[in-house]
Amino acid sequence: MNDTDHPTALWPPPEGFVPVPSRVDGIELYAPAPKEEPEETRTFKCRYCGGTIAYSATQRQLTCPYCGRMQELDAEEVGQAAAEFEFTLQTMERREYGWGEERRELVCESCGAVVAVAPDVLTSTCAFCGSHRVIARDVTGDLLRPTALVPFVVDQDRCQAQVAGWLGRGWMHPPELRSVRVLRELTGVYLPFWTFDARIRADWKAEVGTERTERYYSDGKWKTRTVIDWRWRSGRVHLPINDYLVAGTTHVSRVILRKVVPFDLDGLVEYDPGYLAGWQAKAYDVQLQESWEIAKEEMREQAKRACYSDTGSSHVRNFQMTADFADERWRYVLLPVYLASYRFEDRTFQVMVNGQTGNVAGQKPVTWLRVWLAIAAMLSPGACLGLLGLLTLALGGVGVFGLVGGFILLVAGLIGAIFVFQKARASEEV
Amino acid sequence: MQEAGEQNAGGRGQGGKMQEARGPDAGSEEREQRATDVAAVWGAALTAVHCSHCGEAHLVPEDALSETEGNAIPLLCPFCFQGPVTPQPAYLREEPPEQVLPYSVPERKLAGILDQWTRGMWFRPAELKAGALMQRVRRYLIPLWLVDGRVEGTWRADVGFDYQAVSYQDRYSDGRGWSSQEVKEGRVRWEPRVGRISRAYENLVAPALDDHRALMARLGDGSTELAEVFDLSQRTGYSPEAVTGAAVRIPTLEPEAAWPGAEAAFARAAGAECRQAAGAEHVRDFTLEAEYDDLNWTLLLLPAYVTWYREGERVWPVLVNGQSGRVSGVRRASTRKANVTSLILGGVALLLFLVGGLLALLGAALPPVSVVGVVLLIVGLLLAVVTPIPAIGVWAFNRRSSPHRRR
Repeated sequence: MNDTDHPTALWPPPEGFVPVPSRVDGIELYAPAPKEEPEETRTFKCRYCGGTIAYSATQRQLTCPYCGRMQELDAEEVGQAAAEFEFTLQTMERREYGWGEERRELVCESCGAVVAVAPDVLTSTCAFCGSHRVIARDVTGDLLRPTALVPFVVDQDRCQAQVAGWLGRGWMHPPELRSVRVLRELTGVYLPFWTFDARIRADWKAEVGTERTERYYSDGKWKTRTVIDWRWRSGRVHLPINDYLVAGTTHVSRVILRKVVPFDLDGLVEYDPGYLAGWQAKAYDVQLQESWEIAKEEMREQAKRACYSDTGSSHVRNFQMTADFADERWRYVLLPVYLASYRFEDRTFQVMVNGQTGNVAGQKPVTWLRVWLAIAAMLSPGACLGLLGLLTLALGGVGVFGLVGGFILLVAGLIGAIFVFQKARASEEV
Repeated sequence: MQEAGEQNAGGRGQGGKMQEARGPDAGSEEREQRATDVAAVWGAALTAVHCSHCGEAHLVPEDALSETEGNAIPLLCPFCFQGPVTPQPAYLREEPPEQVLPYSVPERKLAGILDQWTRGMWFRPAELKAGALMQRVRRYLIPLWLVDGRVEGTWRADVGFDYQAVSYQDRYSDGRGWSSQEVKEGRVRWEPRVGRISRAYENLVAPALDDHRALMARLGDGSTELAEVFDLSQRTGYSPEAVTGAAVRIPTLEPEAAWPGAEAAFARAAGAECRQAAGAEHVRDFTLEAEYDDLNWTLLLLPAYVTWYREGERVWPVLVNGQSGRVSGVRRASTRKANVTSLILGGVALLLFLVGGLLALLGAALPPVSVVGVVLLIVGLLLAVVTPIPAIGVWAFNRRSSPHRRR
């Protein structure tokens, strides 16, 4: 029977279908062609002048720094629809590995950070700790390939301005910070993140208390008091969680990272090595399962809070709940940040800039003398007024006012002092 | 597609065994002239009859019909037992059935099966007993088409591959905190496949009766899957002895009319093989566009027994699977027996009530008698309360077992 004998509705096979082996004689099989594997390695050279091209955050395409010519990337902006995967062994085996382009790894012997760079990148400084003890090695091929990434939007110039403004702000920091050499050390790095989705069905059961006011007779008169009536209640909460982010690296400060997020995941594009051209990329060092445990703990706490809220009362005891996870999915994405580390008075400080929004966060050295002086200035009015009130109390009743006023000022000063102290400590916190 | 099917179904008669089969009521003048001589074709003394009540046509033993001729009681339809049958010419194909499925339940075992079926109920009608049912039992043969043929065409489907995903169930309780349990869930990954097929299939089942599904549901405990109702691997070649003395349903679906069922059977068989070819565990949305060659239709007779009993104004048929022994029928309780019982109980209650009342009145003159009177009043009252129970109970039982309600 030849092709013309067949009705055309089902034949020939749709475009993109290829023959696959059949286990039954007399039956031919066609299946969708597997997604074409990109070339094992790609190099990014200008097709006109041969120079090394890089992805430009301002032009949003590959740009040759030598001849200025541009080359478009055809990766599609997929946003939160970027491919996600279930937690199956099969899925893991079907995933692609490696970066899909020719890369070398730079390993910092000081902090252990590993970043992937273009083969011709010559750098001797670790973007994470500022150490110069950096060695190069071939890329290990057993890491998962990212599914999607958010490209850099903020360019170096804007980033420098943002960081300079951020460093110059604040009275509690040394004025020398404005001229520190950090500005030349900004490095654009794609950081690894895991995103997780899940649907949680949480069934809870607890004794829920309802407040009631009752009158009672005691000591010869009627009084009122509040009593709590406890009753067993149960309920169910459905909680969808979408794109919960967990950093896939331990080489950046989680404290600083928390300050530069959020990222707008609507800006996700399908992974294309072209976006990495000219930029560093950090491979994950926190494994999928480990990250999922972190995400799961936070998700179930969210479910617990939702269940507590569902009780409709602030009086809850003997609380029990079951959180059933369903449709758990993950994806491995790269998100853009600029990293810088600088040394000041023999100490290393980290700065991070969100490469999509421009948010700046990091460590800044604190001039503690200024902080203590400020705290003293906040506490002294209250202390002085209190002391004065104490002295005048011995002389007459007027001192009471001074004592009360001094106490109030001291409390206000204490609150201010604690705030300033916390802020100063947070500035140096990693 | 339908055209192709009909064309093939119509064309196979030249080379295949099947010609055509007609119900007795489909009589044109031309066909009347070709009325089948059943006894000659089938080699058994059978004659075609038609039921005026249910409209079904059967072949029944000639002697069964002749026994009733001239008698006041005509032969009842062997299927519905509601109306008399009348002889009519039959238009059958020129060959007898090719195969029969032998009875695995002999008549001597049938009495035990029916006895078990009729037991365990109150106010059983006199006719709903194994002995009475056995007196009326008759072998009943149900026709079924088996189709062979070659499929050449193209197909498309979604095939499903089983896989396991890991999920979690976490529990929390005050004082003990969180505990986590890993749960493995079976899921199906669906992928599209298309292809061509060139395969031959044998003995695919196609209904020969309009009410095939309903009959199979009755014979198979609700299942309409033929493989669960009968074991077709035991079928043997036809011999006249297989139909001697039996009632045989005449096919209402000739091959042309039965073709949609056969085509669906081809599609099911092809779908299963395409799933197998893809190495998948599931298949869905299977579409087949094919041509069918070398079609060969075989008529198979399936074994059953029929009998009946009368309760009230109606006759209730009982059908027994001749291979599995599964009994299908409505067990009715006797409303007459139940009503009589209720009446007797009511009469006794009334009598006790009256005597008790009389004694209670006499108690004014003779106090000890009043005690007896009160006791009789109470007993009469209690008896009056239980009086309607038999009638209501039987009404409820019959209502539950009503075929309309069960459906």
